[in-house]
This record gives sequence, C-alpha cells and structure tokens, in this order.
Amino acid sequence: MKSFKLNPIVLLSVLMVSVFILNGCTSLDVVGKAASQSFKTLIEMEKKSVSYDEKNLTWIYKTPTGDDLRLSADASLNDRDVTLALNAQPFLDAGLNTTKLPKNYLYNKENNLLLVTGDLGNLPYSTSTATTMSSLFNDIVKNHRASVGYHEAMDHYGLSLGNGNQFEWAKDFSTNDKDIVFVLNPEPLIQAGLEVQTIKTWIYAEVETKDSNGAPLKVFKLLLPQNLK
Amino acid sequence: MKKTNFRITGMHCAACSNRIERASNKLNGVVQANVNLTTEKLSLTYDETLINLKQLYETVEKLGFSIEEIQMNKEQTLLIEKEKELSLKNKRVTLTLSILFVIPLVYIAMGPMIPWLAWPVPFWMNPMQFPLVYAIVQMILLFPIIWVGKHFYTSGYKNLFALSPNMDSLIAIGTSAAIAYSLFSVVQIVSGDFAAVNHMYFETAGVIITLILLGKYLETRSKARTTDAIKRLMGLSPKVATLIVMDSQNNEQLIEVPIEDIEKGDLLLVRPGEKIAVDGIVIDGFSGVDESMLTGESMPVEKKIGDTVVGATLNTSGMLKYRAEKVGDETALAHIIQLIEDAQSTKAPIARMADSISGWFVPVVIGIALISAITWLFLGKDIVFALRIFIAILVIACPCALGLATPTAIMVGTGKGADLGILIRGGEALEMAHQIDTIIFDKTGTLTEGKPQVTNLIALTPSFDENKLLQIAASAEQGSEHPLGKAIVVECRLRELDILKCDDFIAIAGQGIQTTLVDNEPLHVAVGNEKMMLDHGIDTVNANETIQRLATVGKTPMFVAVNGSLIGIIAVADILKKTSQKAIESLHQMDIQTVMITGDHQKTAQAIAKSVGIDTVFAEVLPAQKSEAVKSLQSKGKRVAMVGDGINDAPALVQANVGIAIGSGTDVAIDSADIVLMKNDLLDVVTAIQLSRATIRNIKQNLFWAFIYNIIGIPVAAGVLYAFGGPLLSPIIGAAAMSLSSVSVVSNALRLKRFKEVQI
Repeated sequence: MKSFKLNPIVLLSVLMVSVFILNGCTSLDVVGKAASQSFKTLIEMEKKSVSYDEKNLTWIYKTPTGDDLRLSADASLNDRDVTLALNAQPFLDAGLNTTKLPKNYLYNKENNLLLVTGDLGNLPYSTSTATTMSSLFNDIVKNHRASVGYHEAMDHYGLSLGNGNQFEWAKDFSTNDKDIVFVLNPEPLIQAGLEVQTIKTWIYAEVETKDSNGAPLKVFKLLLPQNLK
Repeated sequence: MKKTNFRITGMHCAACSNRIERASNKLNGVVQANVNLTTEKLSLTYDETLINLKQLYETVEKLGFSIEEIQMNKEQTLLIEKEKELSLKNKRVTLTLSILFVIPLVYIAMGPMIPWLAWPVPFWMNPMQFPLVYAIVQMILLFPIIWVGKHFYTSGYKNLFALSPNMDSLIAIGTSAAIAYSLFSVVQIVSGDFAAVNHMYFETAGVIITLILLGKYLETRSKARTTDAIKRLMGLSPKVATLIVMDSQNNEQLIEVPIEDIEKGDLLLVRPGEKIAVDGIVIDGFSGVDESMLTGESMPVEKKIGDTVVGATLNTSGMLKYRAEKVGDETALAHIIQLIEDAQSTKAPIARMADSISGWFVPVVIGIALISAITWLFLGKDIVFALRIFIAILVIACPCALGLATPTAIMVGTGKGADLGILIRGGEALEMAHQIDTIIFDKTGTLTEGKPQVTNLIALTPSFDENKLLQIAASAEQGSEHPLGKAIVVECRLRELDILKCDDFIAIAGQGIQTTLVDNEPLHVAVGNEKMMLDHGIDTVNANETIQRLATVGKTPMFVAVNGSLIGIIAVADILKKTSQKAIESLHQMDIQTVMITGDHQKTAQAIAKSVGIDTVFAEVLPAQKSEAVKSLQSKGKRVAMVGDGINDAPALVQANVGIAIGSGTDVAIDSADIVLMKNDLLDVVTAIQLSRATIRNIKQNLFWAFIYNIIGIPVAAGVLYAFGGPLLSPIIGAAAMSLSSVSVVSNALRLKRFKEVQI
C-alpha cells in the first residue's frame, strides 16, 4: 500500500492562482455582461426618449411618466453621477417637506423635480469613448461594477445610486410586465415628512432583496413601475 | 479437507463481504467460505482435490478485491500490521484534506445564503453579483474532496454496473446527483438564469463525502482496538531464542537466533527471567516456569527432565535446556491465536440475518429513493425538492452499520474472553452459550480436583492385610491411566511398598482392570467396581454394608479380587474444587439447571452432588454413554452445555449444544470443544456464560441501532414527516447520521472490553 502523497503547497498554489484568475476575469462576469446587453436593449427600444445634455455632460432617458434617469458622462465632475429626476408633486402632496431633505436629495423648484442622486466615485471614464448612453453604461459596469446588480425577485437588473435608491429594468422585456422601475428608499423621505401611505402613483411595498453578502432580506421600498409595451 | 485463511483488501461494507462470500461458496470444492469485514479475512474450508486456489484468486480479483494467503508467521503479521497502520494514516491524511476544503466550501456556499449567519464573502464572490464566479469557486474547492473520495465512485459505480450495488454505490449516486444538478445550475447561470445560483449543491456533495470519510476513519481506528487481544497474544512470544550448537570440538556454543529460524529438534537454552521460545521437552536442568499465560495460574510450575514446556511462558528461577518439539504455527500459543482469529472470522446465526438483509438492502434503497423522488414530482414539488429527497434517502440508508453490528461485537467479545482465559471458538458458540439452560458437569477433574487419594484400605480376608491389599491393587493398576488407579499407585509408593510385575493388563471401560501379577505364585487380579465383580462372578454381598457406608460420604469404593475372591475394598476420594459450590450456586441464580455425570457409584455420586448443590445426577455412566446422557436431555428440549476435559469427554462435548473444555489449552481440548477454559476454575463456566450473554446483548443493541437509524431515517428522508407538516431531512444531516451510526455501533462493541464477571 502506498502512502497518500499530499502536496499542500501545490494545492494551495493552484487555489490561489485560481482565485487571482477569477478575480480578474471579466469574462466570468455574466451579470455585468447581461446587464449591459439588457440596458442596451432598453435604450434602443426607447431611442426617442434618450438625449444628451451637452452643457451638463449628461445622458438623459425620459420615461413615459416624465421621470428621468440621468447618467453623468464624467464622474469626476460632481457627485451627481447618477440621478433620478422625479416628478415632485406626488411627494409634495403626500407631505414631503423639501427643507428637510437629506444629502443626495434635492428639490428643483423651477421644474418641480425631486432629484435623487448617487455618487459612483471619481474613477474616470472617458467621455470621448461614451458615444451612447448604453456605452456609458458599459463604462459604469467596467469601472463601478458594485453599482450594477441583479434583483432576483423581480427579475430585474439595477443601477444603484446608493442609500437604497436605484433604477431597475427587466432582464427580459417580453415576459416582464414591469419593464422599468424607479426604486426609492422611503426612510429618508419619511424623515422629511412624507406620508408613504398617501402618496399617489408610487407604490409603498415590501420587496425581497439581498444584502451585500447575498443573504436574502425584505425591505420596504417606494416603487414606480412602468410598462413600456 | 483443508482450511486456509486469506486476507482480503478493498472491502468497504457488508455488501462487499457478502459478494465475496457468495462467489466463493459457489466454487466447486468449497465447503464453507466465511468473510469477516472487520478482520478483512476469508476463512475457506475446501477439498483441495476439487479446487485450485488460482480459481479462488481469480474470482475474488474479478470482483475488484485483492487476496493473499495468510501465513502464520511474524513477517507477514508484521507486514499486515504495518499496512493497517499505513491505511489508517492514509485515511487520516485524506480526511484532513477533505476537511481543509470543505470548511471554506460550506462557508462560501451557506454563509451568504442564510440571513442569520450573514457570513461575509468578498464582493467578487457575491452570489448575486458574480454567480458564475461563486459557482466556480465552489467547484474548485470541491475537486480535491472528490479526489480523496474517488474510491466511492470507482467502487460504487463498478458494483452498481455489476448489479451488486454496495454502500459506495449509494454515496456515489447521491453525491453525483448533487454535483450533476449543480453543474446544470452552472450552465443555467451561463445562459442567463442567475436565480439558478440558489440551486447549487456542491457543498452537499463535499460535506457528505467528508462525513463519510470521517466515519470510516473513526471506524478503522476503533476496529484496530478490537484486535487488541490478538496483538497482546502475539506479543507474548519472544523474538529471539538461544540455540545450542556443537562446534567442531564437540563443545556447546550458544547462538542467539530469531525465533522463526528454530526448527523441530533444535536444542535451546532458556535462562532465568527469559521466555521459553517454542513448545518443547526439558532435557536438562530444573526450574519453575510461570505458565499464567496458558493456565492463569501464576504460581510457577516445576519443570524437570522429561517435562513439557510451552512457548511464551516465563522461566523464573533456574536454567533449562530443552528440545524444540513444536515450532511456528504448531505451538500452543499459535493454536490459541488461530482459534481466536477463527472465532473472530465466524458468524453467529444472528449475523447471517444481518448479512442477508445487507444483500438486498442497497438495491431496495435505490428503488425507494427513485420512487420517493418521482412521487414528490407528481405531487407538484419541483425538481430541486425531489433531488433533495433522492440524495437524502441514499445517504441516510447506508447499511454499513448493519454490516459492522455483529462482527465487531464478536471480535471484542472473543478478545475479552481470551484475556480472561476463555477461548471461544466462534460466533455460533457464543450465540448458543447464551441460550444454555442446562449444564452437565463431568465429575472427575471438572467438579473435583482430579487428584483422588486413597482414604480407606479395608482388608476382608486374613490372608491379605492392608499393605498387601494395597500392594496387589497398586501393582495391578501400575499401567492404568485412570485417576483412581493412579491414586492407588501413589499411595503404594508413599508407603514404599514394592510394585510387583504384571502381565496381561486389560482395562474394561467403566468397570476396572484385570491382570496377572507375578508374586510367589501367579495372582489373577481384578480391581474395579461392583459391576466388574458381578460380571466376573465374584460375590460382594459381605461388602455391601461397607460399600454403602463409604458411598454415602462421597467416597468411591474399589473392589479388589484375587483368583476369583474378594480380598478387600480400597476407598478413594477426590476433593471438590474450591470454586465448585460457588459456581453451581451462580448458575442456579442464572436459571441454569445443573447435572453431574460420572461413572461413580450411585450413592457416591449423589453424596458429591448434594454437597455441591447439583440438581440431577447421572451415575454409573460408561464413558461411551455420556453423549447419550446429553442427547436424552436435548430430546426434552433442553439446550445443553457439557463441561469436561477435552480428552476423555470429546464425544459428549461434541454432542452438547456447547462443549466446554476446562483446565487445558491443549490441542485436543481446542479441537473438541466450543469453549476452552484455560484455567482450572469452574467459575470460568459462569464467566463464559455471562460473557456470551453480554456479547449477544451487545450484538442485539448494535443491530437495533443499525436498524433504527435506517428505519427512522428512510421515511423521514423520503418526506413522510414533511407530508404532515414536519421537517425534511437534509442530505447533510443524513450523512452525519449515517457516519454516526457506524461509529456508535463500533463504540458500543468496544464497551464489551469493560466486561467484568458478576460475582453472584
């Protein structure tokens, strides 16, 4: 009988190399790739609703309800790398006190917009390469991967603004009746006086999601789903 | 007919041993084949004219196992021990490796998924963000575990395709199903169905294999302790001996040689404090030898020229030269070891039941697993649920505990017996012994010391006084082997009376002896019991009252007649062993009836029986009739044990349900008895029965635990409780329970090591 030969050094080396390879291997990022593809599909579907604000270097996708998703073409400009520009009236009608809004929440009185912003950090992505909103999104996936995810319960991809706010869109538009969804963390707004039970057009509901480790949890959100079909 | 033992390697469970046994028994020329999973031995009784061993080797190797003949030599024994140590070491290494990888695997697989655990994982391994990376990491961690457990797959699938699935088949199928489904989930992830990340079971496969390896390791470690008795006996033998050789000048030279090199006829020297190397006969010197290894008696036994010495006993005081008579596997020690090894290889009838269940158990379990999974699918559950059911049943239903239940207990029980000086021939003897309700004791040498002494010399005619009476009787008995005859000769020598020459010595079994003595004139002498006198037409009426008086006090009267006339009576009495009465009392407390059988006079026998507490007496029984007495009790439905010396009582010992030879570790005793008591202590009969009851009780406990795990586990794993709102059995819990069952069975068997005879 032969002694079992164990070479722990070889095994550990293989393991560590595998880890490094996995860490750096973007081809294994199936969620990122699929999210990019899906976002591209959305933008192409809604071509007429997509525009570029040259003054502010911002790509804008205007949804059928008039609410916008805005992506800054230069993340180093300011901290409004991603913005949800929302019709403020439903919030005001539900008691929102705009003077009590926390950081990352702005009230644009002129356009009656509630601006919810997110800072992706200052890692640059070049405006010269981002010639379309979807290619800009690709850059975001490449450089700010943590902000893009998959929401299993809704079968949506999402672009996170941080603080529980995000913009979601369907993985498969043909089967999902909620093609896009604006998702807001209600807490800061409740602190600012919003009565969530009375807000119109928005839905206050408990949704299933996952925490940063991937563990399931349920949280309350304000949702504005839209069917583009 | 020949009996040979073979070592079989590669067996994993009772299904393996059953396969080999069945295949071996089918070979032409094989009378009986017994395979012991625990000792890894095949014990084969065969007609060597009908079978070539090559056929056996081919048959076993074709089944996927290795086989080699066991030689009773130290080299091979040491090699086997080394291999066992290496095997244990390998198991430890593979287990360590498996644990090393399963811990991070479980952490990664389960930590993020369970809210109350919430173990952090690196972002790039987040299951929702990077499901493919998450899956691949688990696959990488699983690979080494599969590698160290690969024998489950090679053996399991091989046996499955050979339509003889074993325990490995269950593990292989179960874990393969988990891995296959997980790989399918990985494919789904690549295709864009990221929710499939929740349906991976790599950790299930990894944990199952690790737990099984853990169970096997603990089982192997525990099994090693079951052979402690044999190892201890093997260690008794010295490694070297002092050989006496004559040089060219005819001077004695002493050379130290390995014990294996000693041959029959060699002259050996043993100094004080050294162990005697082999069985032999003393040719010079005088010493005391501690034979406690053989007889349990620690008082040294005097050895002088002409006395036999036994290998592995300890020479205490003087120097002895002796000639080797039995070497290697012919020595008494080797026979004892062989007996224990054979005993450990045999099966109790209760074990055969477990074996037959093991044989069909695995295929039935696979069937139950398939049916349960399909049923749940039909009931509307998804494939993941059905898969979980399927895996859980396969894993929990492993029959390895069933296969271990009996042999481990028998190994420990027989080993414990050997430690106590009780050699049990095998599982069948153990099982019969615990059912005994009647014990027959031979009188002389069993209940009594076997050293009768002359107590009365009664001369009935004036022509022959007491001394003359004694001289005539002793001279007639000088050639007798009977203890009564020897007692008369001893008394004559003590009185320093001459022994006369005798011719025509005839011994008549059950009666006495007759001979012709050469004195001043030829004397035709008959010495024996009343029956002998009657058969020779010698009138004993005048002596009847004397006879009755002597018999009533337990003495054995012997008539002495010369030339057809009764000249006197010699009374002989054999004292009872110190422990006889206590032994009988203890047996009565155990609800065992006691019977004494003897060739003695009825009244003598009854007196002795009464003094010791025996229930029933068979007196005036000829040696040839002893087995009939056993039969007569058996015909009344009694389960009878017979206790006697192995030499004279052989037919009765064989006839009895259990034959117990007392006071000897000799070859003859070992050959004829089911149980050999090496010490001359009747209380060992009680201990032997208690040990057999404890062992059978242990076997039943083991079988209970082995069965209960399966009986409860299978329905729970199949979802019976779940159907009524109860819990579902996780495959991981199933694997843990299965490993625990094997370990608990072996651990329970090891409890027998703590057996202590109960003093009643």
